[in-house]
Amino acid sequence: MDEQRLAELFRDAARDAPPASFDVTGVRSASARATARRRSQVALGSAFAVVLVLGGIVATSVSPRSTSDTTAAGSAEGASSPNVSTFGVPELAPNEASPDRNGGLPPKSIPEDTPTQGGELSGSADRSTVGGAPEGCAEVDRELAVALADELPVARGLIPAPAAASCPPGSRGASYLLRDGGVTGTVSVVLTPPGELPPSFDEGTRSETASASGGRELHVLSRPEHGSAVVPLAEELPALAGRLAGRF
Amino acid sequence: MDQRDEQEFAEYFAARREAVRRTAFLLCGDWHRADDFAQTAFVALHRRWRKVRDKGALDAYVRRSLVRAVIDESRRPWRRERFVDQVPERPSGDGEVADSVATREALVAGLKRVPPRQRAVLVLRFLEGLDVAAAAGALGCSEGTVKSQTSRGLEALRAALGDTIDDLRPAS
Repeated sequence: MDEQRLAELFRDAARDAPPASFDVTGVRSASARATARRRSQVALGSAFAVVLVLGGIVATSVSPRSTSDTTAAGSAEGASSPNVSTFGVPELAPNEASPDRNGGLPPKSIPEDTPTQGGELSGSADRSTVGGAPEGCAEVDRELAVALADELPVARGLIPAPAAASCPPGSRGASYLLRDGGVTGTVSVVLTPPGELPPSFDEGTRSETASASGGRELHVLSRPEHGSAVVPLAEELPALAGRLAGRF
Repeated sequence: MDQRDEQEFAEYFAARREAVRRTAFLLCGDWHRADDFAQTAFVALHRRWRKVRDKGALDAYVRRSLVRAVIDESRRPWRRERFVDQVPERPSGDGEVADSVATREALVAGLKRVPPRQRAVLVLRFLEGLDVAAAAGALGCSEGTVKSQTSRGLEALRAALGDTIDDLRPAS
């Protein structure tokens, strides 16, 4: 077969072409459209990738925390916590969400073990103090707490809390939320160093002071809690202060 | 592209458009689709114009884009080519013009019955005049493949045309 003749046949077959249906302007327009389409696809793909990455980061950071939160909430309530929903979201019991100020039991989230002096209180007893964070007696003093519980049989078995007062530097303190009959209030004991001012406290709080050893002063404060107008142990405060001062 | 690039592209387009259209026509057998394929190849070239540093390779790039577009489309189910047993009827009439037209139509119809890749080899070799190495470069295959595809393509074309075109009869 003659390749030359075959080439002529091919060229002849493609002869007599009709006018072209596109020009250079159409090519430029189509090129611009294709480029724009490509860019939007790249942008869309990038956005999708960013969303995937962020979602992954959020998922990995949130999942372990929610698990530990559920565990913590469950352990605070005991082995079989009725307050953990089936979805793993901890629910607060009503008395946890808003502690009963009128003589309800202390919040269960207060640790069972009495913190040692200098230890950090991890409980959530939400008792207001004068001037915000008390100075000097922001932590529960174990020795004072034990002494106060010894003098107040009604306080035995309760969880001590920091003194409900603003103390001068170097002071130590402890308090109990008491319910004696229909009377609810906080009884605090504060031991101030020699020469220091007495602790300041909320209006309505009754205080008694007695001298302790070494020139220190021991203050017993009794504050009615919200909704209660009666100062708990009002009549016993002087004797209580004297007995406690004798221990220190 | 800047103005200079656009000007160069316009010059190349004007010089090569008809040749590319003819190649596309023999590859697909239809002038409308040929224009679509040719435009697709020129659009691909326009998008990469600044990246094509060797302007001597422009023809090869367009050829490759064109062949790829035709073969890709022939693989799509809704555009897959179907072979028929009958060659289209030859136009009636006497004389040299009628014979020429009939020969052209027969060749185009016969080419459409050749498998796309073999058809591409035949078109590149006999219409574009490429040698085996250049055709292999355009198709992205080995020279041996081009040779074998040429042989099979011619055989398929002969089988499709029968005695319609005497020049395709094998030399005895």
